[in-house]
Amino acid sequence: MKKIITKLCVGLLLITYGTSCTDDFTDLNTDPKNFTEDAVTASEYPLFVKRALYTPNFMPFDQARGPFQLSHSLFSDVYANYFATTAPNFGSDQFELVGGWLNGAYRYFYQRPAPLIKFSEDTAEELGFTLENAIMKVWRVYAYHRITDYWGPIPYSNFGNQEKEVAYDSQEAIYNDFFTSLEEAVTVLKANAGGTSFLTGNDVIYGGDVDSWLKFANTLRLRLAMRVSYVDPALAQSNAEAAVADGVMLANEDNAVIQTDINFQNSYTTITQWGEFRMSADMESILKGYQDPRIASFYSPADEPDATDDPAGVEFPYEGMQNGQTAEAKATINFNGETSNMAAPYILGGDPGPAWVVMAAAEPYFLRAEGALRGWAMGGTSQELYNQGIVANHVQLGYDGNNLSGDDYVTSTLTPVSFDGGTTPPASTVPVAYNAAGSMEEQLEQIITQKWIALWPDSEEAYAERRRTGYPSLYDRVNSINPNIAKDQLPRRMTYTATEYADNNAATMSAVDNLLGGPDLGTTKLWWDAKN
Amino acid sequence: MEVGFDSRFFDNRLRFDFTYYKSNTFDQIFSTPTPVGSGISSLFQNGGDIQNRGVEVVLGATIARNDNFSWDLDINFARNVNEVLAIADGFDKLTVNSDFIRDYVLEVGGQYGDIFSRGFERNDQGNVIVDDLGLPIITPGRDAVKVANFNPDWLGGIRNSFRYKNWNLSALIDIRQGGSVTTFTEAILARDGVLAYTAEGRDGGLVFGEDIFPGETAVREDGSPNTISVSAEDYYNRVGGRNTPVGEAFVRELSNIRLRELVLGYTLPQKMIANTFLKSANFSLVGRNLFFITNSAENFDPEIVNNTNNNSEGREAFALPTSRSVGVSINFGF
Repeated sequence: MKKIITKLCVGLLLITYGTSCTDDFTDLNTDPKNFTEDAVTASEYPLFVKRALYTPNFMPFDQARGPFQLSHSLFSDVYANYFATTAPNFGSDQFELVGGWLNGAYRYFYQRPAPLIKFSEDTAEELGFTLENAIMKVWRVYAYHRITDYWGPIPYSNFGNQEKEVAYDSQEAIYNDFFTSLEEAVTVLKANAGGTSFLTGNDVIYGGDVDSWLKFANTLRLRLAMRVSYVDPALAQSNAEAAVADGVMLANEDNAVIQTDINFQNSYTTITQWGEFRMSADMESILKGYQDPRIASFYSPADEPDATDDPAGVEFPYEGMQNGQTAEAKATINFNGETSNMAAPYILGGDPGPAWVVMAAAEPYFLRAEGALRGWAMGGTSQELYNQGIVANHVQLGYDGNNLSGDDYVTSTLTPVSFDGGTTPPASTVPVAYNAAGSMEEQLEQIITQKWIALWPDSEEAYAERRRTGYPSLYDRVNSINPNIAKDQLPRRMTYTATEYADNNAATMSAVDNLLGGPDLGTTKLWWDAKN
Repeated sequence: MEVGFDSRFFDNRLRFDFTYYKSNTFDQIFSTPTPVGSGISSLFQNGGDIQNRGVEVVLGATIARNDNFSWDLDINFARNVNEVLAIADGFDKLTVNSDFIRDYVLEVGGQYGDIFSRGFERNDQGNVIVDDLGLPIITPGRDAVKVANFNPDWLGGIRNSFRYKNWNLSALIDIRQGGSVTTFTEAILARDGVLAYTAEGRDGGLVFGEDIFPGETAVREDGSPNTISVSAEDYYNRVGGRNTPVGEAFVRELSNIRLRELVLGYTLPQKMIANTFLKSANFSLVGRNLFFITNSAENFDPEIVNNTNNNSEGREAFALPTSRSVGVSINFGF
């Protein structure tokens, strides 16, 4: 009996060792049910593009409203002085570069938009969709330029390497790659002029229309060219002139807009419910001074407007607050009740909200005006283009080109006024009417001031231009709690996040030492931030 | 690896068991974080070498035994020493779990169960630095200071069992020595000002280093001794609360001695049940977790648990209190 049992045991052991258990690993590890990367064909591909177009614009809102607040509302919205923070314990308005918030903004970009964009671009190349590959190249440049304009050197060419270390690229290398990518994309788009991509409706910006994408690509190229105008004027000029020659946006029909619906809402309608920000004093000072009708599209009248701070004969029930209020002030003064919230379409909770404007035709007019000021071939004088830009934005928002008093807006000599009836000086001194005889800086200030109004609410772009040019002239902070940045200065970049130091330490340290050109602080200027 | 022996002397009146063990757990699978720019969220890796060494001793004696009366004494003792020998290729430190007040960090050379939290900034002599308001300066980052470790130094128990004719009485005393946690409950409640010990100093008059944390020496930023008095509200606003509590201010020891169980029973005499189907019958009154003899944690029972995760041991955060129970036990033998 014992012998039989022993033999049985030995036999069993031999059988288990004999049959290999790793034969089926490949089959076992292949997912039979769920959709995998290799299975993408032309019918599924557009769905990825759709998401790639939505996510950098913080849609769908249910995933993106938190990052929208962190990335856009708490930083660029207040650093462009479009809004001021009313929540007492939020320090970013006082120049505190809150690490946890920047971490959320940074991680959102690399976890959602970046993989979708890379997948869409690479898959189009593999499957031979050259037109769609060109469109995604343009889109990749659009999505990444906002990230590098915040942080400077970032992981760009090494994104998605699936390694434990992801090296950064310098901002100079990134911008050069932007120009190269846009040039390649524009070549393909021009070759397909007049056509439509098979993406059709899944291209939520242009419905697949190639000519529109070409104008978008050229406008983006012009924007980025102007960004480097101080650090590399030759590179700027060549790219700007090429962009204008290839055709930038000229009319509001060319605008890049994403329509909102119940599932893809404008994230502002969610964050306005939280009551943490209001209209800035700069907006009141400048738009009240100009009697600018566009104020009604941006903000709502205050609950109890203060007529005593308006100039004689002017009705302007919009109230703003200065940026950088202290926590004590915010806890004791009822800013939310006294100042203006966003305009009605933005504050209906759960409502889709206004369509999301990615880029509009007014901006390239202002860019061309600045280019003409610099002597580049922009197809017009700076005065003509400046006026056209203002009119384009008025038309975009549905106005007839007159100011609140009924006079013609672009020729008006009105200047900004004090926002509080005389105690504080006006934020700026430039009039609307273009002064072609003024100095270069005076003309530049006028162009950028009107561009600042027209860009609303694209605060990322307004903040970048404010850093690049120093305009418009805006109020100082009431208070700064950042020991490195005084209240009359401005953060020049965002600091790197704690999770990058923790998970990607060698690459981050190398970026700070070799690529950043300064310590990892908000005071270090970016590569393109080279004006004097 | 485990070695030991069991021994009995004097006709089973003296019992002595001893065990020594050493065990290493290695090549565990865990996921390691990857940079967000890599396009993947985590990588699985094999790694880890955690060593546990310890002894377990049981000593029992029947001190008295005769027809009417017996007294048994059983004592047990256990001690475990844990060490993290290695984590993985390229990792000397791994944060296993974290919440608002603490990070569980495994460090090579440290122990499993080390709790890291925010602490007080100290100068080179180890004195706490206070700012111009008289409040201690807090270290940046949540894992700056190792504040506690929830593992005990040793555990022990003493059981006395008495039998007098048909009555039996047994008492078990449980002892735990060592271990500490940082308590999130107290951090939040202290900032709300609802703990009894926050009543003192509400109008001011507390000096850090004298009234608060008298065992610490506090100096101002220029090195002079701290004499600034603060109110309880200012102090607890600085160190307490939900978002950024300072774990170093809320460390509680977990040593305790409790009466774990008390049993008083009566066995029916054989005469009464001789003609029934029962072979034996015993009725007992049982009490468990009756009271603490000493409890270093003061405000909570060190045995509370939040849930059954790997990482919830040593997490004192609004867990339900443990309970004391009294019951009846009826025992029939067939």
